[in-house]
Order: sequence, then structure tokens, then C-alpha cells
Amino acid sequence: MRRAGLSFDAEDTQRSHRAPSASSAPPPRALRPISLLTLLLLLLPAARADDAWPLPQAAERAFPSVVKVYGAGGFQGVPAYGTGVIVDERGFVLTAWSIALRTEALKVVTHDGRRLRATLWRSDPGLGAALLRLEPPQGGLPSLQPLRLADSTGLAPGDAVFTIGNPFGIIYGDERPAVAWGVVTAIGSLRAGGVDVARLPERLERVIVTDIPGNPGSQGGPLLTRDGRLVGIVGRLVESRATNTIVNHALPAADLVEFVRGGVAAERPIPEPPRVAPRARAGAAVESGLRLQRVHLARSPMAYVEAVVRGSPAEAAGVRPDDLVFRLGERTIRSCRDFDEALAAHRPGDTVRLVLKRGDAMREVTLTLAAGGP
Amino acid sequence: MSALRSSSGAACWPPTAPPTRTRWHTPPVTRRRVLALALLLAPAAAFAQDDGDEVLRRALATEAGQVALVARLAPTVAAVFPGEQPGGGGGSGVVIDPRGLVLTNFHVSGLNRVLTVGLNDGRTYRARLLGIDPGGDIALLVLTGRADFPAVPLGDSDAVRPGERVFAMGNPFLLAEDYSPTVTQGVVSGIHRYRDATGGSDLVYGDAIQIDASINPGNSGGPLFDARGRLIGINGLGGFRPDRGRVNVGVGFAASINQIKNFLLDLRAGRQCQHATMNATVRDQEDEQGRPRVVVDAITREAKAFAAGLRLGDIVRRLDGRPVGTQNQLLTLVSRLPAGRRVTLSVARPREDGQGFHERDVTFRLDPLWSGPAQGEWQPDPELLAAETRLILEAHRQGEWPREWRRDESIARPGGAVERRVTHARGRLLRVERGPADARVVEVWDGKRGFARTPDGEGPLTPGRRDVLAGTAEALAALAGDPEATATLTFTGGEWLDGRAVLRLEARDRAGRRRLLYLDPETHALAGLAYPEEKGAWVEEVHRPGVILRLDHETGALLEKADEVRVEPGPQASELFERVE
Repeated sequence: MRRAGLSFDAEDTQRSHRAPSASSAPPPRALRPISLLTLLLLLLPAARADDAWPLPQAAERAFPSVVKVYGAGGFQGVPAYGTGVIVDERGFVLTAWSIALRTEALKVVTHDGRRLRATLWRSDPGLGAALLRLEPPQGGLPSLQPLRLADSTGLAPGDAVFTIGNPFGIIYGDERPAVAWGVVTAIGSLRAGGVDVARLPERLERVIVTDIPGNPGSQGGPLLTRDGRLVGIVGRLVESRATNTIVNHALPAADLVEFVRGGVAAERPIPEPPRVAPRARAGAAVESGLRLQRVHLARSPMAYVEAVVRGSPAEAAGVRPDDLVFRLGERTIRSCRDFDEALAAHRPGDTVRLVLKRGDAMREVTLTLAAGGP
Repeated sequence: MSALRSSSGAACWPPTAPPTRTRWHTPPVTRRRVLALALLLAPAAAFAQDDGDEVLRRALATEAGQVALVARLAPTVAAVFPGEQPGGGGGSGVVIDPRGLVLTNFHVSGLNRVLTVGLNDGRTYRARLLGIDPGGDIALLVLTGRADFPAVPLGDSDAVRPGERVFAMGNPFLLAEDYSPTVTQGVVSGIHRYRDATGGSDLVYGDAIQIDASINPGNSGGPLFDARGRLIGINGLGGFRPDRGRVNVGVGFAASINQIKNFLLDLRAGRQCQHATMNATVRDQEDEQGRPRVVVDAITREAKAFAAGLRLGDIVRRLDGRPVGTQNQLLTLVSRLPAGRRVTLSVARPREDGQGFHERDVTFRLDPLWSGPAQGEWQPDPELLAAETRLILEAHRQGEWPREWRRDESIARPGGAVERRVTHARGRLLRVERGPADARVVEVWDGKRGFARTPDGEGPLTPGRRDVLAGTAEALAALAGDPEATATLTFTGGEWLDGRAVLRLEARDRAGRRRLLYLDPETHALAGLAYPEEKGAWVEEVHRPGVILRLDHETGALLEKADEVRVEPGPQASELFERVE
């Protein structure tokens, strides 16, 4: 009974209004438009009172679980600061993966302003998430108030959500991070192309796209429903300078449950999994198994190889990351776009000659193209 | 240290100051809130056929409530153009008083003495610049052309909670040619934010409200309303990312109304407001448990805080009872106060033996922190100032205050001594009897000369005592409108007296004696006064019902307290004020 783009977390309300007994049945579907309107009522300001607006209370409950994260960064657009959520009272903080977390000097500041050292306990760039473990100071860890990951599977476009974070690092110490609200605009894959593939959480099948502006420092903060359920973690800033767009997204809680559970159960820090090359771009007719570094620049960059898909024609031919593609067939390759065009002129099964520059040496390989992805 | 690394541009349109790295020819991407609002409203309309549905009826009623709220607020929102004509650049403002007082940003008004203000009746009004607060980025205008402007009540920004819904109204991009304001909706992202001057803006916002409602160029000076339509701030800074060409990033700042309230009476008095400094710097530190604390790491010997006993290494725990955990919090608390405000700093000083701390309170008046035009460059408009003074005096004289009275006080001093004091007043004449019956001192000011009778004899008053009596007598007579009074009264702004804001009038008589008279801003009754004692130290006299306190003007230390004060209005015999033989 959801109307596209216009449903406001109807199921969540029903859930929260339901008694916590197992016997309560889900409400009949016919009730849903009514609760939709109830929510509408809640969302609209009344001239007399705004008591029905749940955000202040929900934010108040969440603040003690939100922490400021300080790593190493501040260069090449990577902020040294971010946000995190305490997900376990034994000192585990969930945040967005960032290169800035790879430092011995990792610090976490809790809601009461305590500054604690932390270790990068588990990280997965492909998932876009990282789990930090707080190091107990003298006298042990302070009492922590965790937020548990909630069920994010019911989330749909139009649901009202809010985030808590530290955009631009404007707050510090025991100051409360910033609240921003908006709606879920889409739930989908970020792999559709056009954005910087290398920086995406490529192992995630889907992310929650919102209209809440993402800013440096917001990453790692909680994405919450109006009633304060933790349905996601704000992802790293994904932007395209070519199209001047930012995809404000969050990692769904459902995809982080295993990551957190495994991390909390581990005896020692878990090594980062090797990067997996993404699948072929949608709609490509042929597959070389070779992924280029499509960093966001105004002009199409030179065709450096970012990754090689396992078991692919490129791997069989001996192409390696960091190779520069110099020629494909008879065509000179000056950019990623040249490479895409040259490749598109071929069919699966064709054998093509590649000239690669590896270090200072040039080398030539031949590979047989496979069929493209769906 | 906190620093907004985006360029946080002043949101006037175009900016009054030359912008850094800013191009204005391309309108920035505007925002989603209006659209989101439309989406919110759409379903209610879509279901409108299902009448009889109780929920629907309530939803529509709520929607109507919001529309009505916006309609009620819209007439108070102003488009402000710094010049004699609309157009060119400009910003927004809001009417806070039916006689046409308009709050806007200083970076919108600049130092233009004459401005043009458009309201949503489609008309433009001439406005004059009354007072400026460059340090708080606020200016107060007064409109002409109407007697009863629609005005909004001031809210309480300290009661605002993060997540609360807010509306920003104004004239972004000067879109509305008929001056009907643009509404954008969002939530409070944070409160008590200290935004220092970084990223292409030299504006410091001391106690700011951070919002995610869309603030764009032209919104500057416009109102931020809470969900009940109360004014909680003045929108002034939008967050834009310069590297992405003025993209609104959903981080905006409004000057909090409670900060503005601290300067509002100074603005009304046509002054250039002065913010405050402790003349000391602090830094963030951690204690052994990793908890933050704030430590004084530099202080000048000239600082009033130093004179009051603040020292290097002191740990600042509270300011006027409000906890201080970070440098930013102390900056926020100090920057929302005017210079001269008396504050109490609770500090902890490590004991010499390293075991624990000495806890102590340090009370002093904050030193001035000058910002904006250099001292003396801004002067109140004499005509506007005279009008404001006249309004206040007229309001005071509507109260029926007795011209002649007798006051009986039993005064207790901290040492334990008790003294009875009887004061008789009749116009400019004053008689004070003090001391025990067997050693009574009688002092008289007859309007020209002073006399005294002590157990030792009789004679003229000492010059010091004469000035004490005469200055007060002349000031009070002028306040009462006595035609023979020689003192002139000028409204000079606000003062914080006995825990509340009061109006301050400065009296100066023919002999150059100064008094400060404090009036209640609501009733315009006399709430207290300040006068120099014989030796020159100023005394602050606080009037409460049945009680008079006399405090050291600088430190607030209690000098004397009179309980059971009885004031009897009525004629006072003229011989009381004659030479005592």
C-alpha cells in the first residue's frame, strides 16, 4: 500500500505502537494509509504545539552513543575527523571505512568529552565500514551506552530519517554533534557507473540514498529513523567532480550485522580483506576483466589499471594493477574513454593485443574477450 | 580547535564585503526543503476525497495550521535594502516591535543610515539605522510610515533542543519582487555553537544555532522561527563549499535571540554594541581520566579578571553557574555577553602540595572587545536617540510616582553593624538622617547648597557628601520631570541588574555629576541606580519590594542591605530642607 515516494515509515510506527508481546499480529494492510496519515500529522507542525515531533527526544536518546573519531588525514580531501556509533558496551565503535583510520594515533571522543585511544579492530573497504575498539584508560572503560543495529530491511524511499554527525569538524569535546533530517530518496546500488568506482563500497549490493547533505566529517554517523532506530551508518563522501554531484548515502544496518558480530567476537584485530575488483559495468558488451583508475577529474584520466578481476581474460594475459594501457589493437589509448571506445568496438571472443607500460618497460599481451555482464 | 572548513559565507546578496573565491553570477543550487514540504503536503491533498476520515481531517487541520502560521508570520518578515531604493544588494529582516523596530544583520545594513525595507504588503518603507552590533552581526532599524507594524514575539533560544523543527524566512536571491518571503523548513542541528572567523568570512558567531534549513544568499538578517512561530534567531551564515561552486551543504547558522536580547537595549540606544573579553586566554586540557577541562594559559595584568584574582593555571569550571567543558563553551558564554557585564567564574586552583584543588569564585566586569568601526566613528543619531529617551521617560511618568516621600531603612552591613536611615525627598530637595539617636547626623541638600549637623556641630556639607546628595537629588528630579531639575537624561542602553535586563538612563547635572538610573523595561519603574561614593568608588543600588541592596559596582560585593524598607509618599514639610540651625 506504499505509494512511491510518499510513504513515511508507516511500518515503523505500527511496530513501535505494538505491544512487545509475541502474540500481536501485524496490522491489516488496510490500516496502512491511516498510519501514513498519522505520520503525516506527526511530521507537520501544529500551530499550537510541536510535541508530536519526535526528533528532539530521539536525538537526545542517541547522543550518548555517538562519538567523534579522529584519525590521520587532512590531505587530498580525506578528512582526519569523522563520526562513529558505539555498538557494544565493551568498547566497539562502528564507523565508515576511511584511509584516515589506518593510524596508531586513532582517537575517539565520547559524548562526555572523554578522549580515548582506539584500535582499528576490523575494516572492510569493500563494505565501506570499520569497527574500532576503544582502549581502556587507567581505571577501565567508562560506562558506554551502545546503540544496537536495527532491522533496516523495511526501509523504503520516502521514509523520514535523520543523521547525527560532525560536519566540517565544527564541534569537539563534549559538544553535541549536528542533527540533520531528510528522507530516504532511493535504495539501490552505487555501481551504476559515472561515479568514482574505486572509492565505493563495492561489496555492498545496495546503499540507502538520502537527501541529507553529506559533508566531510559526517561519515560514520548514525542514520536513524524518527523513533531512533539505528538503520544505517553514513558512508564516506562519494562525489563526482565531472557531474558535480554528491551521493549522500548510508550503509544499511542489515549489511553490517555480521561485520559487527564477527568483530566483537574476535580475539584480536582482523586483517583487512583483499580488495575485490568490481563486476563489469552494467550494459558492457564485452568483459576484459581489467578495471581502470577512474578518479574524478574533469578530463578522462589516463588508462591506469586499478584492479584485475580474478579468473578474467586480463588475469590470464598477465595484466597487473598499475599497468598503463598504451595501445589496444591498432588504437593508441590516451584516456579511459579511449579504452572504453576501443573495447566497445569488439565482440566477445575477439582476441585483442594490448601494449602496456609497466614501470619503465613496455610489454605486449594478448587477451581473449569474454561476454559482458548483465 | 573547531573550524568550519567550508567557506561559510555571509548570506547576504550580494555580499557587502568583497567575497573571497566567490562568483555570484551563477545562482547556487537551492534546496530540497521546499520540495520535501510539498511532498509532505501532497498525500493529504491526494486523500482529500475520503472525507469523514477522522485522521484525514486532523491531517488537513494540521496542514492548515502550518499554512496559517506561515501566513501569520509572513507580514513580519522584511526585505532589507541598504539604500534609499530597493534593488542592488540586500538581505532580510524581521519586525520585533509594532512601532517598526527591525532586526537584521550588520553585514546587510552596513553603516547606511537610511535604508529601504519591503514588507509582504508589497510596499516599501523608509528605515533608519538605529544601533549596530558588528561583533554579533546584528543591526536594529526603525521603520517609518506606519504606526502599527505586525511584529513577532521573541522566543527563548536557550530552551531550543537539537532536532526541533524550525522555519527560516527571508528573501533568498531577492526572489520575491512583491517582498513576500520565502519559507524553508529544517531542524535545529546544534545549539550554543561557536563559529569562529574562518573560510572567507570574518564574522564570528558566538552563541549560534546550527540548522539544516536552507539558508542562501539574501536570507541574511531574516528570522528563524520555532514551530510555534516564536523568533529564536537571526539567520546569518550559510555553509557553502567553495570547491563545488556555492553548493549549499545544509549547515547554516543563526545568531541566537538570547544573545541578541543581551544587546537589544544598547541597540535601541543607538550604540555600537561592545562584546566582551576576559583579557585572558584558555586552552583545552585533559585530566587524568581523559576528561576535558579548560585552563587559563595567559592573562594580562590589566585584565579586570586579574584584579579580581584569576591567575594562570586556574581551571575554569563554570561561568555564572553554567558548566564549562571546552574552550568553545567558554567562548560561547563570554561572546554572548556585553562588555561591562559582571560575571562570576568558578575556578579550581591546584593546591601547592598537589593534593586536590582550591575552589573559588572570581567576580568581575568583563572588559570590552572592540569590533566594527573604530571607537568614536559611530555615534548615535541624535534625533533617534532623543526620541527613544523621550519614549522611555513618557512611559516612566505615566506611572504615578510620588514627588515627595519619606523613606525609612534599617541597614545591615556585613560586619554586623545596624544603622537606621531616614530620607526625605521633595522635588530636588533631599534630607538624610543617619546614625543612632545620640549621635545622629543630618544632611540636607536645599537645591543650591548642602548643610550638615553632627553631634560635633553644624556647617556646610563636605564637597564629597554634597555631590553624593545633590547628584542623586538632581537625577531623580529630572526623572520625575521636575521643571526645576538641572540634570539632563539620556538613554544609554541596557544593564544587567539583580538578575535581569533593565534600561539605563544617564543623568548629568549642571555641575557635571553623573548618575545611572535603571528602569524596569516593562513597567518603567525605577529598579535601581548607581552613584559614586564620597571617595569616588561607584555603588550600585538595587531596589526590590521592601528591600534595598547597595553593592560594589565593580565586584558586586554586598556593602549594605536594608530590609523592611518603608516608603511613605506624602508632603514633606519645607523646614526639613532648610538650613539646620
